Amino acid sequence: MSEQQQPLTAKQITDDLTRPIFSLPGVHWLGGFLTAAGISGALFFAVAVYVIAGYGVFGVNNVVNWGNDIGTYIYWIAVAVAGTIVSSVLLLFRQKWRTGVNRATEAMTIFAINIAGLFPLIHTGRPWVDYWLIPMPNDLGMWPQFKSPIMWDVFAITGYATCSVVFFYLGLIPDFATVRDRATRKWQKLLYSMLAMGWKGTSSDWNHYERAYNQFAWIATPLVIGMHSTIATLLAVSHVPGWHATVFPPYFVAGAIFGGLAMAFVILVPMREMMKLKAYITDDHLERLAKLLLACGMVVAYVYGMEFFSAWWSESPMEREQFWWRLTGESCWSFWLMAFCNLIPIQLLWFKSLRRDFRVLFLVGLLVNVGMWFERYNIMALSLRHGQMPSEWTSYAFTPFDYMILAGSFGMFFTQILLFVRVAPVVSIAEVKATLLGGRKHEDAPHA
Amino acid sequence: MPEPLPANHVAGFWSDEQTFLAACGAARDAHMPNPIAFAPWPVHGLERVMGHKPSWIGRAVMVAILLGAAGCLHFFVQSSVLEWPINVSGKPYFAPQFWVVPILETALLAGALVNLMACFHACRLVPGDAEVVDPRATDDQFCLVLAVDGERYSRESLQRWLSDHRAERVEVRGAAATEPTHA
Repeated sequence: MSEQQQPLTAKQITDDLTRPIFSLPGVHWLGGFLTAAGISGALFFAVAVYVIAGYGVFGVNNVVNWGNDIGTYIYWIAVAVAGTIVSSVLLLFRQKWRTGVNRATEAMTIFAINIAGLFPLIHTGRPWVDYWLIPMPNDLGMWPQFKSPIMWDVFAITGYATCSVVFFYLGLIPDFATVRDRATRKWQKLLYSMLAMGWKGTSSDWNHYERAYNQFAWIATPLVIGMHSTIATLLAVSHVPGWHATVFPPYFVAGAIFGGLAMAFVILVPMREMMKLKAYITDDHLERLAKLLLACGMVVAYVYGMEFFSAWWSESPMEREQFWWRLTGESCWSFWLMAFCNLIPIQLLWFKSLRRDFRVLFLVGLLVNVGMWFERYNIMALSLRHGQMPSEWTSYAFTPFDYMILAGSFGMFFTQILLFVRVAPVVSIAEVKATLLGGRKHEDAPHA
Repeated sequence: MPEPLPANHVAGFWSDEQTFLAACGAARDAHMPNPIAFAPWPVHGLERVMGHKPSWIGRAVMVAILLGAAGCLHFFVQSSVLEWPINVSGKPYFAPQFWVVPILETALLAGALVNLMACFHACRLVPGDAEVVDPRATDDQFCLVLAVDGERYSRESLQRWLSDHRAERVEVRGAAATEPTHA
């Protein structure tokens, strides 16, 4: 690996970034993969039981009818959002440092959104008729209810997932060609020839490719903001105390970037250390991500405050009751855990030395992830448990199957991440070369 | 199918981006017939020195976005107003405001898909093996391919021209490689 101070060469960059593809996996990777795959089995088991036995295997009830599945769905969607924000928005702003982290965050987007997509499908109760959500001609001449933000969400998720996948794949094509031309094993040559689509890298190819790649950033950015705003609107248009707030769309977008960036640390820090990528995912990269995390965290802190202020200012007894109950009720532990995890650890990031310490960043990332999951749990479960009607106030508890789908979703996510690091370069080879080698001479390089 | 390389050609290779860029500009200035430049990473200014027009993909995507929006609007009018009109207390049960989000999402999705397909078409990308000029052209070397074409662009003159432009490696490919030299 290239931890030495002398400048990197193109060959060395290719060597470093394709090594995991051409070498056999180590013990750490195998251990991690088997563990993650094993945990993801819990998700499949729980879903199998649910399909046979029905939705009653989960802890939801008539009052708290949106529980773990929808909360976890929003959590994973948020993780996906940050990946696109890092990749697309930083590209639009011509931030060269994105090249070190954009591939990993794009992968995070793809894997998070496919897990997120599972949860609404589970939540419908009868997943075998989920295709009814898709507007299509039918014998009854009936269409889905387009006045409902839930239908908007179907459009948003479908569009965003498709766009993210093609954006991710387009970015990989030149790198797949590099791998193809280095592969010596026949099966690898064949596989990467298919994936590279015959990429040759002529000046004409790059001319069209760069336009298309930049356009994806323009397309993905409104799509991702629109998608998470839609999810927030889905809650905000209801009358449930704790949901009925106009601040929800920007709150959800900021929270999503916050939680997703935290997940980026959870992925990037071990990846950088174990795959020896310090020359590509540098302390500077991590520090800039940490600044973004801190900024988003402060926005989230402001919104937490504003939620309470709005509840008080609204003079609505139910809003006031809801938020007072969150602070002091029997489930206040989940509120205080969320507040602690989301607001306290990020204060460490005011200090430059801590922003450059990968152990601190990993720990902060983990804690913020815990906090952000509890934020969604609180929004879902606590709001519904303590609604408008005191006669409806009830309890909500996870069943073992709730724990299984929650843990299994994390297992599935990390299984996909671990597979990804073995089949594709985790840092964009072409972009890093353009930045590190071409960028030295052309500060205004369009791709850098 | 991907654009084939000229049957008889001379290929020059560079490791330095600037020298390669200068050679590409010189090849265009010398009116070489269809020089083809290969780069392992995007090089700023290469499209300009090679005389490429700005990509047309942007216009294709704009059309796709407009068509996507129009198609989705048509769908909503068809499904909510014409085919299945609901009337509640004398008022139609739909509101165009509610269509805004799905129309936006559908338009952008159409744009994304057309963007990908247009890029594949423009770059002639199809699954399968590519006629790679050199394995290092996707790794660490830039390459300029010049077609051997008659006396004016003979194998020897092209080799000399590439060497004069500081190519680190010059290779003759195709039938020209086996012909006797005229030097």
